[in-house]
This record gives sequence, C-alpha cells and structure tokens, in this order.
Amino acid sequence: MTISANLNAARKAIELFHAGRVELMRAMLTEDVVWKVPHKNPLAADIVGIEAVLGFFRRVQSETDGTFRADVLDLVADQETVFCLMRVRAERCGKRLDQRVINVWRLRSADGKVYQRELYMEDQPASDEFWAY
Amino acid sequence: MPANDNLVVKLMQVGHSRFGNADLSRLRAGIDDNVIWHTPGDHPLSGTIVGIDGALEWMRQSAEVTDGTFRADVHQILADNEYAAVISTYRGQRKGMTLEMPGVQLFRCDPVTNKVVEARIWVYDDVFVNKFWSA
Repeated sequence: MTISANLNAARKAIELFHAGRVELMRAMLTEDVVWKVPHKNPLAADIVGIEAVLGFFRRVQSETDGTFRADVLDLVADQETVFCLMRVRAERCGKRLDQRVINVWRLRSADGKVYQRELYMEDQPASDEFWAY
Repeated sequence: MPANDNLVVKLMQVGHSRFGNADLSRLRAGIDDNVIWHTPGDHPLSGTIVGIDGALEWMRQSAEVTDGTFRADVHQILADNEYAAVISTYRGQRKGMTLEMPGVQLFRCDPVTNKVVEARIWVYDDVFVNKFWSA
C-alpha cells in the first residue's frame, strides 16, 4: 500500500507509526529512505535506511516514556508528494512538547514509496529545548 | 494533482509568479485586506503581521534586503477549496550568504472571495534563517 492510494488508511498508519507501532507504515517506505530530522538537538540528523528510521522511532518512544504521539490534522497527496500537518505531543523529564509540525514525504515514482521525509516545526527552539539533555 | 480548475491552486500559481516578478500591486488583488501573515523565527522579518499593507511591505523588504534575489521556487501545490500547502525551495543572496532551503507556505483562503486570509511560513532550519535575515 502507498500513502496516496488510500489517505484514510495512511492516516491511521501514520498515527500508529508515531506512537511506536511501525509495522503498517514500514511497507510505505523505501529501503534507503532518508529521514531528515532538524535541527540542533541530540536527535537531529539525516537518518538513512529503513532500519535506522525504525530505530529512531524506538528512541523517540524510549526518550519520552512512550508518551510521544501525533494526531494527523490534514493529509493531502499527489503522485509525487505527501503533505501532512500534525499535532505532536510528548512529555520528557518534566518538559512538555505540544506543537504543530508539517511532514513532507517525497514519493518514488515507480511504486509510490517514500524515499525522503522533511520536517517543519512551528516552534523549532521549543523542540530543541524539549529534546536537549 | 487535480487539474488547474481548482481556484486556490490558480491563486497560488498566479500569486507566486507575481511575487517572483516583484509585481506587488497585482499581488494585492489576491490578498484579503485583513490578512494575517505569520513568519517564524527571531529576525527583523519574523512575527505576525495583520493587514494587507503590512504583508506587502514584508514582501517589499524581503526583496530589498536581498537585492531582489529572494524567491520561493514552487515544487508542488496541494490544495482544496480553502487551504493550500505550497512546497518550495527558498533561495536568496544576502551579505555573502546563500539561502537555499526547503520550506512550506500554508495559506488559508476565503472560499467566497478566493483571497488569502492567513499565511504561515515553515522553514527547515530556523537558525540559518535567523542568521540570514539578521545580518
């Protein structure tokens, strides 16, 4: 399944993925997917490869005691690109994250799988503060 | 993407083309008088502007301080009849620095007048953007 083929199913898969249940969305990613994480916090990096991306989400969950979650507010796609506006929430070390973010997923034309993800945050300094050690 | 008969998509195409050509007087036609214009970050062009004159002045300044080089190259426009996400690369030159960064502009439009009533810019790397516009 691809994201743009069925947006309602994709919405569910995306929310489960961000809650740490990665199975459904895994099939939507290419093996060499590049997951771009801004920007100057300990998690920021260009993460390359599906296993590394899944590891990243395990780390997000362990850093937040399983509280990290995302609600999809808007999801639009064409054949090349998916736009996803989300509200992300989590708690960590007495700190609280609650802001809107945009995910842009770029789709491989051959099979519609995600080969790159970019993240845009409404308040990047607040995110950096949340993830800082 | 659905064809260009979507009025919001058309508004975005025309608006970005006019911005690219610094045609601010015609750009005015697609923007509501009471537009809310959000720019993230901590620099002279960041903050929330209310009103069309302020929004157009923001655009004029963004061109002026970059010798007319600041632009958004549009890759995709995803829209319904009220909201549009414009996926872009921002480019510009300023004081020896080169801006080249992915970004998204989100617009909310009035479905009756088909004018922009709210805009929000999302940048990938706010630290560089702060440096670029503050220098």
